[in-house]
Amino acid sequence: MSFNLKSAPEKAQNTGKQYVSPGIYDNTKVVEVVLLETSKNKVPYMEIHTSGPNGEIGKSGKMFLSTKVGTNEDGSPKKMSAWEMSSGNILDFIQAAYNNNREQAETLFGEVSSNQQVVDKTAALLVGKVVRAKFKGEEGADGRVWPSIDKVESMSVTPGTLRYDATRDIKKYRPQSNTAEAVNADITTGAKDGSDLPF
Amino acid sequence: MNVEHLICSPNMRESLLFLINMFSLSDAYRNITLEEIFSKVEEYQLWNYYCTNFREYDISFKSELYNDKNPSCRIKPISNGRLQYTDYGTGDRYGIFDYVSAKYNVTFKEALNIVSNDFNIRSKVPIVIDPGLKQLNLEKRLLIRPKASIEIISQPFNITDFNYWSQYDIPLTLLQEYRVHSCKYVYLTKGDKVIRFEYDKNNPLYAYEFISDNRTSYKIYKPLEKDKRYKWMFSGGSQADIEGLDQLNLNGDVLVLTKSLKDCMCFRLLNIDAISLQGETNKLDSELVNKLLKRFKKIIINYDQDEEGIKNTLRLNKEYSFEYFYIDKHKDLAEFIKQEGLKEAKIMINKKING
Repeated sequence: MSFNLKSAPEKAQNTGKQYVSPGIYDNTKVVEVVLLETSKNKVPYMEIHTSGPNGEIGKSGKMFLSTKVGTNEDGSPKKMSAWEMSSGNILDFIQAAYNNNREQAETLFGEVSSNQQVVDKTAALLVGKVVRAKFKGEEGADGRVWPSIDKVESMSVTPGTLRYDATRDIKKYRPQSNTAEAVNADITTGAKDGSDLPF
Repeated sequence: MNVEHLICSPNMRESLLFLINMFSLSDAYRNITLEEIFSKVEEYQLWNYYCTNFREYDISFKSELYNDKNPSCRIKPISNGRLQYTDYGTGDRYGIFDYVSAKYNVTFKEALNIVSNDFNIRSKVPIVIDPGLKQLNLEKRLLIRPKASIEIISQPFNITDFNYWSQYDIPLTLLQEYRVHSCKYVYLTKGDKVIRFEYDKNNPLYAYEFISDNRTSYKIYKPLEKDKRYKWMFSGGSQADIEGLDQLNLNGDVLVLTKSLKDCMCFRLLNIDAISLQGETNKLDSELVNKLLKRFKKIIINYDQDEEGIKNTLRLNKEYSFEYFYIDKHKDLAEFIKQEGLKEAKIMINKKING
């Protein structure tokens, strides 16, 4: 057997995963609910992962699970705990998946006593269910737009409640000013002959 | 030369005797080899001699290495032409000398010596084995049978789980209610052996959890497993673990005694209470029957319509006079729902129970 590059396609094929683009989509199916941790400080959070009709990958924002009410930078207490925020998102999902009201959704979820149980319960209720979902986007430094679920509604209701506007729903990338200064500083302090370059 | 007749001092005679007896290599101890044994005796003969319960190739027999209740062992030729002993209950595999080692609790070299002695293969240097030693070790082993234990690492249900269970219309929330877990890993420990099973989307892993007397035990179910040895795995459970018992309504008209937890859940979909024993052949405790009959007006048996199912249905019918029925067209209710749908299943079961 010999190897050469003659049979390579003109352009490398993208074999990576296809992410959903920002917008509103019918039949967005929940495929997984995961418990993760932030890389810094190891703060636990939950994410709901979805799949579009053609397998496009989507996910919710980070749903933090702490029931403690934190403090603001000035030391004043925050209005609500992370869990209170996240539980609202979970209720929205359950209402959309089962086309029921808030009270019914609360009853379905019941009560659990640990982060893992929150995830297990949410997975049992939502995996395999389909909703209509609005994905918003956030532009990264490389220009790519990262989608995340903004709002959901039941597939049984007439479309119309969810509205998407690319100018408002895609957060543009803005480099932080101190980062820009740091970059400039690096450029100006670099050796002029390029002897400090790593190659 | 006869040293005994030399005229010399006793000390000198002793030294001469010593010299004459030394430095001769002809009688040096030589270990017996596999080749030597196999040149004198057939492997089949060895298995027949040492494996007491072995009768024929590829026919199951009970292990003599522990208190085996079912015939779970077989001996058959493998690709290198040798014979291999496989215990499908424990997963143990032995060649003949490994088996002799295990049986008498001796080293491999000692096993070779036992065989050579029993078959008189090296008569020149006989090896004396204490005949009582073999029996003693065997008796000790019979008493120590390592019990399997199962530990699980569970995970939230995912789309693979949904796809599998929704074939039977069983929602994931119902699995949770019946304490069925999706498992990322399952560890099966027996003695010093640990086997790890990993979840795969083409071969998912589920654990049925049982709690009795503050003790948790698991029954592992790999519905898509091709190797039948690992489709079901049990540990620590007992016949007293009745599937579906904790999920029953307090009382009702009908309680169905079926043959699996999956079927219990399917009956629940039809709003019918159901329990299952750990197997169709298991006995139904009369005390439990009395308790259940205080809560339910009648108990109806629904086992599979195969030889085993019919036999055990008739046994329970004779013992308790319970009514019984079989599922139309398919082997069980779960399969009926999968093939015909929940609506048809409701009609069929309603006819069976209410006439």
